[in-house]
Amino acid sequence: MDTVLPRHKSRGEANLPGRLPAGHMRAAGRARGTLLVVLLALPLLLYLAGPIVGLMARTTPSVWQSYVCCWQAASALRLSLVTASIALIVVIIIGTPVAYWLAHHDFRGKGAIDTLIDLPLVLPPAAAGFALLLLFGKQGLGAWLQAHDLRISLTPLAVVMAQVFVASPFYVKQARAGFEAVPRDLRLASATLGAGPARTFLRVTAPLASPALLAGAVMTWARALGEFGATLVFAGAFPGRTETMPIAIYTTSTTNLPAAIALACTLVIVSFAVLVVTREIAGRRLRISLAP
Amino acid sequence: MLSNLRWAVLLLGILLVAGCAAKEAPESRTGTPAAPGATGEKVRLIAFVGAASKPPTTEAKEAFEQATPNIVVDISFGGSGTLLNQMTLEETGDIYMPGSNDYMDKAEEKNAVAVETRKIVAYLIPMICVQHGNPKNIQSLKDLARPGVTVGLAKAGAVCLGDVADGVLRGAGLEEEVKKNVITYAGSCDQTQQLVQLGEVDAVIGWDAFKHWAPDEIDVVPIAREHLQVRNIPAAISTYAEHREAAQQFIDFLTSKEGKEIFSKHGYSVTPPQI
Repeated sequence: MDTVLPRHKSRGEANLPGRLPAGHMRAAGRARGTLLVVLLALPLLLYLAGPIVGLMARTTPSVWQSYVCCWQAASALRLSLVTASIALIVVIIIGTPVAYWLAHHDFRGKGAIDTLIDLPLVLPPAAAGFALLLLFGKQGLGAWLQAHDLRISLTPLAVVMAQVFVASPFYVKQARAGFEAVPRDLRLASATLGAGPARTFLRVTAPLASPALLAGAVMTWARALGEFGATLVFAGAFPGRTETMPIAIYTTSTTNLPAAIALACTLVIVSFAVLVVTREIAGRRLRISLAP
Repeated sequence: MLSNLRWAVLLLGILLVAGCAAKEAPESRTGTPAAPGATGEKVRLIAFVGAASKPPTTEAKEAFEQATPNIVVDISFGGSGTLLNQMTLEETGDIYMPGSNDYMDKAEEKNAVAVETRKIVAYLIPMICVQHGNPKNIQSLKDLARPGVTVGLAKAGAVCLGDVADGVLRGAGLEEEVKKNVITYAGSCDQTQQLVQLGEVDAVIGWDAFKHWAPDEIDVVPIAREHLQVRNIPAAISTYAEHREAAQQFIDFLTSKEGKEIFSKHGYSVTPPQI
C-alpha cells in the first residue's frame, strides 16, 4: 500500500520537539529513496542522451534545410519507414508461430533452435549481409530465381529481407516470453469450453500476451529502421531504390559530414516520435483493456 | 483485449499507406522520369561507384540522363571493396568506378572489368590536411615530425591513401620520425578526413579533395613535388555488362569536358599534376 492514511499515533510515533510527524518522515524517506534511484539511473540516461544532444547541437537550420529537404533524403526516409513496416509485418507473420511453438512445446533440439534465433543478434550485420547475398544471390538460389524472373539481391526486396533477418529475434524472444506467461489453465479452460486451438489462441493466448507482442513489435520495427550493414551488402545503396536512411547517412558522411549529421538528426527525431506515440497509444489501450 | 493487436496492425497500415502515398520524389532534380518500370524502352545501367565520388557522380548522372533520355543510370555507392565483391558475386553491373586505381587493379585481376575500357575520371593528389587556419603552422612534411604535433594516417595495406602516405613519407626519409607523432590510423579515406575535420589530430596526409569536402574546417598544405605519389579514380565497363554501348557512353561522358567540369567543381583534379 503506497497511500498512508492518517491514524492514531502510537507512543513511538508521538511528535517530539524538533522532529517531523511520522507520516512526514515516511514521505521524506520515500523521497530520499526516489532521489537515490534517480541518481543511480542518471549515468546511463546521460550516456544515452549525451551523444544525441551532441548530434543535434552540431546541426544548424541552414544545413538542415539544404540537405534534409532534398528529394534524396525524403526518399531514403520514406524507404526506411515503408521497408521497416513491411519487415515488421513479415516478422509477426512468420515469427509468431515459432514463438508459440517454443513457448508451449518441449522437444529435443529446442536449445539449438533457441540459439539459432539468437544468432542474428551476435552475427555482425555485414556478415549477415554476405550470408544472405551468397544464399539468395547468383552464387546460390539467385541463379535459379533469376532464371524465373525474380531478382532478390540488390533490390528493395533485399532491404526487407535483411531487416527481417537482423530484427526477427527481438520479436520472437518477446513473443515467446509473452506466450509462456499465459497460464496453462486458462488455455485448458478455453478448450474445455469448446474453443478450438485457433479460437483459444485468438481469444485467450494472444490477448493476454499482447503487451509482450507489442513490445517485441516496437523493438523489431526500431531495429529494422536502424539496419545498416546487412542491407548495404545484400541490397546495395541505390538512391531511391535501396538506399535507406542509415545507408544515406553513411554514403553522405564520406564527403559531407554536416549533411550526414542532419540526416542522422532527422532519423532520430522521426523514430523517437514514432516510438513515443506508439508506446503512448499502445500503453493507453493496454491499460483500458487490462482494467478490471 | 485483441483490440491492441488490431490497433498495432492499423498503425502499421497507416505507416505503410503514408509511406506509399507520399508524393513521388522525382528521379532527379532535372526532371528525368522516376520510378522503375515507368521508363518504357529505356536502358537501365547499373554502376558501382565509390562513396567518396557520390556528389560529382550524382550530378554527372543527372546531366547525362538529361542529355541521353533513353538511358537511366542506377548507381550503388559504397566502399570500393564491398562493391567489387557485390559485382563479382552477383555477376552483375555495367560500370565499376572505385575510389582509387588500386581497386581497379584488383578488379582486373579478378577479370571483373574489361581492361581496354578503363579510363581516368579524376586524379587524387596527396596533400597535408590541417585544421582551418593552420594553428600548428605546418608547412611541410618535416613539420609533421615536430614534437607536439599529432598526426593521423590512413592504414597502409587497408586503404589506398595509407599506402600513398607511407610512400610519400618514405620518399622524404621521414617515415620513422613522423610515425612517432601518429596517434591513430583510419580505416578509410573519409575517416582520415574526419580525423582532422573533427579536430582529433593536427594533421593528416589526405587527398586534395578533402579541402572541398570541409572547406570551413580543413586547410591543405601542398607536398613537395619530388615526393608526390599520385593516384586516380578510374572507371571501366564490367565484364558482366548487359549494356556495353550505353555503359561506354556514360564513361565517355564522365571523361568529357562536361564531366570533367563537374568533377572539378567538386574539388577533384581532372588533369595530372606536373611532377
